[in-house]
Amino acid sequence: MLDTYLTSMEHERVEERIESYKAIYQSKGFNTLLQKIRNQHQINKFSNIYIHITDKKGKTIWLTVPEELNELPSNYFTPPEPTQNNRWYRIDLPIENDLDILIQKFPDGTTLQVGRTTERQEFIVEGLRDVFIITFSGIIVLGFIGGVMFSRHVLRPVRQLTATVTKVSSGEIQSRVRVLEDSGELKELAELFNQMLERIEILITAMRDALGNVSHDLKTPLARMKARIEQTLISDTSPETQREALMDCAEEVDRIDKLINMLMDIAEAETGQMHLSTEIISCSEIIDDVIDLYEMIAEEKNISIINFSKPLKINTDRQRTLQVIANLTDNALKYTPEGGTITYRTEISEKYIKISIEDTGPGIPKGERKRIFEKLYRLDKSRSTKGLGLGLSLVRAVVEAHKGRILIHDAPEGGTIFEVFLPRV
Amino acid sequence: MRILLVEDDQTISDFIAKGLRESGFTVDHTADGNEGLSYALNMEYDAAVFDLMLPGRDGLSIITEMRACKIETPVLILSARQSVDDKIAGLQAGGDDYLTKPFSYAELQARIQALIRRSSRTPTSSKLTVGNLILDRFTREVTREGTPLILQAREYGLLEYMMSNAERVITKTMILEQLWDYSFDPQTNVVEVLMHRLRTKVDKPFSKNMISTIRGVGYVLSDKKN
Repeated sequence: MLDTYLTSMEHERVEERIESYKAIYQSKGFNTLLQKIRNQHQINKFSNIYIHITDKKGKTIWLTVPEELNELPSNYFTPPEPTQNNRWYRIDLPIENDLDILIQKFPDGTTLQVGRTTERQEFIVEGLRDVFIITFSGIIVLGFIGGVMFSRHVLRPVRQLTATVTKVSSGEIQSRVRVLEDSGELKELAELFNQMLERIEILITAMRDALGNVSHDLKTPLARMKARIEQTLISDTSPETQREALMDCAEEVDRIDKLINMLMDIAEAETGQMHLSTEIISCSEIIDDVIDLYEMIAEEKNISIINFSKPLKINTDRQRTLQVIANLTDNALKYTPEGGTITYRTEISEKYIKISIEDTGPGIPKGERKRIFEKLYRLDKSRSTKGLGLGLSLVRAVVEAHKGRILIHDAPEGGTIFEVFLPRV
Repeated sequence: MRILLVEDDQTISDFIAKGLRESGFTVDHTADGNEGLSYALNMEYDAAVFDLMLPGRDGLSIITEMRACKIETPVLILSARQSVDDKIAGLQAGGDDYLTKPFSYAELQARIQALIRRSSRTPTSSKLTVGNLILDRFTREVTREGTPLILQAREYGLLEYMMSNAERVITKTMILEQLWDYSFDPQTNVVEVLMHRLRTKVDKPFSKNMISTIRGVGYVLSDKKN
């Protein structure tokens, strides 16, 4: 294509030249034209041009040939016969290049031939081709490298995402995507992805815990029950003993049922699956209800209950909050010795309503404070308290599900203060 | 009294049906949800007991269909699921009460009777009499063998509840719900404490004990035993 283009350009230049010669010839005559050509020749204007003028007999009047053709005998430059104006002819030369000529016959028989060798074109084309090849391959190589680098850069967060997903699915649930970007969709994606992983981790951990607890703490009552049943079936006992055994089993079943319910409640609260139907209630109302339930037990143990609570408004799930305060009260009653006191107080702060329950029990050693919220942890293992060891875990889980928190302090005169912080209305 | 029972567990349904028949109910039982619905639509029942997970059609959808056909038979839902959400869903679908498995038969029967009472609005008599124990709801006076008993409010409440369910087992859960309106297990022995107090007043001064404990199940107030 380039070749054709260059050829046509060369042809145009030759055509222009022949037109100008023709004009000179027509206006000023042959001699002026010859003079002009001679002048041009002298100032070396015809580097690669072929000019051949013959008279009507075919005798050469003027001949300029491109340098490279100097050695060729002049008989090669005979124009083809018959000739036609304004038409291109190619003269085959016994060298690498050929000669393209245009012929102009004048009325007096003088013939003007102007031409160019094809050599120059090929040279240009070849040169250009080289330039093109170098440029293009350069562009392609650079473009490829650039593209690869760019895509590597752009896809880096995606690759990290993939790596993290691979890790997570192979069990490394703690791994997270590093957030590199300052902003943009990929940063958002990475953050959302991490949030999702966070939730998955919480759920998986809770599930593992629940399974562990279930297998541990359900197996024991089941084993007791099985032993009791077997014992009764094997031995030849009275109906009365059999009745006793059945009642034992019924009690064990109750215990298992309670345990499952508690574990499920805790798991629901911890994983955010707990349904909370919140309403605005006053905390003294809750405390009054709890005292109403427990005052009889307090009476039995000769424990006095003091209630300083104020009707501060909280937005909580009534039953669940009752459960929290009830569990804490139950706990306080369990550990407070006869003749002790349990005190309820409420306080309002900028963000929270604080409900505190103070007992006059033995207090909780600092090292144990974190652990008492763990599932199935009992402060005094030797003590034969009937609890399931889940009460405080449930308390914390429910409080945290309400976006609150719970703290433990030493009471000034010994004993423990549990502080429940619930968001203000 | 006719009860519809739709429950696919053989043991549980046999247990419920047997218990209800012994208490004088007529029981229609099916294990299939669709069959249950056609029973409910074509027969008249005083109450129905539906399991939630059933082959063919689940319990909630039976209730929805029934209510759409303007059948207002009170329904007690049985479910292994304990979460509050399920309870709410069950009651929103038109269920009247909800009992989670495992449950005690005593509680089931008490709840069914409460449902029937509620829907038929049988007037409660002012005087409750069990053997020689008499409770007057108007004057709040309680006597046994003619001797007046001085009861505290909670003790009175418990005795009234037990007398209106005389000869039937009542569970701790039922007592907690009835007296304190607690729907969760408060992990406390308050019921035992209250029961102990009631016994010292109702049984201790007399030769015969009316209140007996069935460990692992509940309590019965009865004139018959020992």
